[in-house]
Amino acid sequence: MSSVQFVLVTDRGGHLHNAQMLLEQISQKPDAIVTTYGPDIDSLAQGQIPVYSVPHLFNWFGKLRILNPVRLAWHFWTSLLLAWKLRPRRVVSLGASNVVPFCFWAKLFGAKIYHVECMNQVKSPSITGRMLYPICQELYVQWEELLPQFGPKAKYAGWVL
Amino acid sequence: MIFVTVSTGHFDPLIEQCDRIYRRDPLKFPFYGQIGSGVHIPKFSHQKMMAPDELNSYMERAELVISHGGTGMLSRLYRLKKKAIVIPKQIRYGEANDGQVELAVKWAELGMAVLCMDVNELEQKIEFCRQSALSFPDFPKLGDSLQKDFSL
Repeated sequence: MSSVQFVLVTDRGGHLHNAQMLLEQISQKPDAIVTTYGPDIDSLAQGQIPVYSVPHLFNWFGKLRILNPVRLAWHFWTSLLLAWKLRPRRVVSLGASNVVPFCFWAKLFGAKIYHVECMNQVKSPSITGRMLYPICQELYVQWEELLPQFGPKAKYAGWVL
Repeated sequence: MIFVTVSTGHFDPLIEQCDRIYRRDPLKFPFYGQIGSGVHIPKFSHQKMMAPDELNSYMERAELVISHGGTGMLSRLYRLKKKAIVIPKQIRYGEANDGQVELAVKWAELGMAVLCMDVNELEQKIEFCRQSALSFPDFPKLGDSLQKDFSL
C-alpha cells in the first residue's frame, strides 16, 4: 500500500474545467485525479496522471435529482477504498458534491484538504464548500464577495483562469 | 459572422430568438450556431456539437459571440479577449437552476461581456455590443498562492 503526495479531486463538466485550469497554474503535478465519469474524462485518462472515477451520488431523471440509498452506499464504499489505496498527504478539491465523501475519508487517513470554490460561486457559497469548510486547511474563493460567507480559513488569492 | 453557442446542453429559447432575428435580416445578423442538444432547427448554418479547437476557431473568426453563462465558455472568451453577449441559462428557459446568473452578472459588471437576461432583448443587445468596447482586467493566479501554502 502506497501513500501519495497530492491528489486532485473534482467532478465532470465545469468543475473539471476549473481543475484543468488550476493545473496549468501550478508546477507540482498531482499523483492522481479523482473524478466522476463523464464524456470529458476520456481524453484526461489518456494523459500521464492516473485518473480514478467514483460513481455519482445522485440519480438524475432529467432535471430531477434523487438520492438513491444503494448508489449512496456504493459511492461511500468506492471512495473509501480509493482513499485508503491512495492515502494522499494533500487533497485539492474543486467540487461538486461528489467529492465530499472522498475528502472526509482522506481526512480520516491524515490528508490535508484544500478546497477551491468554483468560479460560478460569486456571492453564495456552495453546499460542498460549506460541508468541506470544517475539515479543510484552507478554502479558496475565486471572488472577494464570497469571503464573508465563510470563516477565517477562507481566502481570496485570485482565480484559476 | 455572429457565433451563437450553447455548449452541450440545450437552450432553444435563445436559438429560436436568433432564428427570428436572422429570418428578418440575414445580412445584418449573419448567425452561425452551435445548438447542442436543442430540438429547434434554425434556418442559419449550425452544428450540434463542436470540439474545443473548432469552437475556438469559430470564436476567433466571429465579429461577436453570443454565449450561455457556463464557466468553460466564459473562460474561453476571456482568453481570446472576445467581444461577447452572455445570456445565462435560467429556470424560466427550462434549466434546473439559476446557477449561471451570478457569474454572468459579475462578468458584465467587470465589463468583460454585455449581459442579456431576456431573449427578447437580444437584438438591442447585439446593436449595443457592436458599439461598445469591452475590457478584460487581469487577476492574480490562485495557483501561485495554493502552491506556496502547499509546500509548507
